Amino acid sequence: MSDPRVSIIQHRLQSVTTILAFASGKGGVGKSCCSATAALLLAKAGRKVGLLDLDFHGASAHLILGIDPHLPQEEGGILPFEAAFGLRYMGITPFTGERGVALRGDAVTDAIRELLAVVVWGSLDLLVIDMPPGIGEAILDVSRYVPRVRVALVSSASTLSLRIMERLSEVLNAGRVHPAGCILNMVRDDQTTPTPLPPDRGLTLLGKIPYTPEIEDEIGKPEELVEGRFAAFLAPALEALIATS
Amino acid sequence: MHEWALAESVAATIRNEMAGHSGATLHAVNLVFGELQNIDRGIFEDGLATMLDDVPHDRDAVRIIVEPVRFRCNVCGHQWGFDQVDGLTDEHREAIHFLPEAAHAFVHCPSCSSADCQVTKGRGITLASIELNEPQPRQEAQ
Repeated sequence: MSDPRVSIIQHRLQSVTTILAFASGKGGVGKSCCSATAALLLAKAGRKVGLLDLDFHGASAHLILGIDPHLPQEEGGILPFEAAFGLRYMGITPFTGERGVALRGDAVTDAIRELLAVVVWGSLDLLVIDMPPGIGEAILDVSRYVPRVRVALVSSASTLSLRIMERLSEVLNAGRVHPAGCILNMVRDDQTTPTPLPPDRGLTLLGKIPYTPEIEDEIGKPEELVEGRFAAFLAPALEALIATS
Repeated sequence: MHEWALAESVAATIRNEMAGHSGATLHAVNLVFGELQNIDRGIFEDGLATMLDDVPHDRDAVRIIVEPVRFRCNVCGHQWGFDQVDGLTDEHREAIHFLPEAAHAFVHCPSCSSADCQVTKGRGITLASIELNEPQPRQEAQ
């Protein structure tokens, strides 16, 4: 018995120039805001961009984009939805709505393989992937099946978050998916930010984003989000990330 | 159609397999369709036939069996089939057709009502085997 879907994933992504995944060791560090805002900034700049939300248990990219996805259209596969600035979006929400999805490990892998195999992104300059937190099926499957993926690690500046990010970085390096760098989010003005990782780990700091509570008012309003303070701090980190490609 | 994307994955797997067997032809591809995904067999077969147009193969090389879906509750151990799933709308069925894991948003254990269930059989498409006709070795001239 074999899974034929695996044979088509590389072909499905062959017209995507750059693939960026935003991952984290711990949850609640602003990873979805980083990935959705990054995708919107790139799309607003005129790039052809896709956003794939693989955080099935905490799917929220569609909320940030302000779309209410329903069952998708088909044409040789499943077509992504169009959001602001022409950004193409896909995730689990078009199929489950706002219901909670009780998915265990193998089912997560199955859903990831299915989406990678049947979603027809077409030609893209960049595909941004919003990963779930932790060292679980999603990051392991993306490392295994998504060619040329570049992983940006997102962490708060807390010692706990940084330590778990370090563990994730080690796992990725062991799988030869070397993280492109890290973004520190929700850094308080008065906070002395520890060095993210020892220099010999090879993980560079792409940028720091201060605590920006006003982003709550920009959720679901992509035109405001890309003009906000969070986006302004993310933009240079995103440029640094792309420059590593 | 979405079935074409699945057929494309099977065609790619067959081509990968045949690439290592120079001169072989396709005798059979044995596929299992999970009942849960409800793949349209006609559309799938049309798509696969188109994609394998240039691949030498036997008549009726594509063999498909449909495997009934079985759910198992991770809490109470109850097992059940699709006929015991209540309350699915056409939209839910369509969602499950596109992404079988969507079932986990709609299907609960009929015994204890838990959402913590797994699909033990009959999920989606599986390739059971590929059988090739290997080229006959040439007879040495006497």
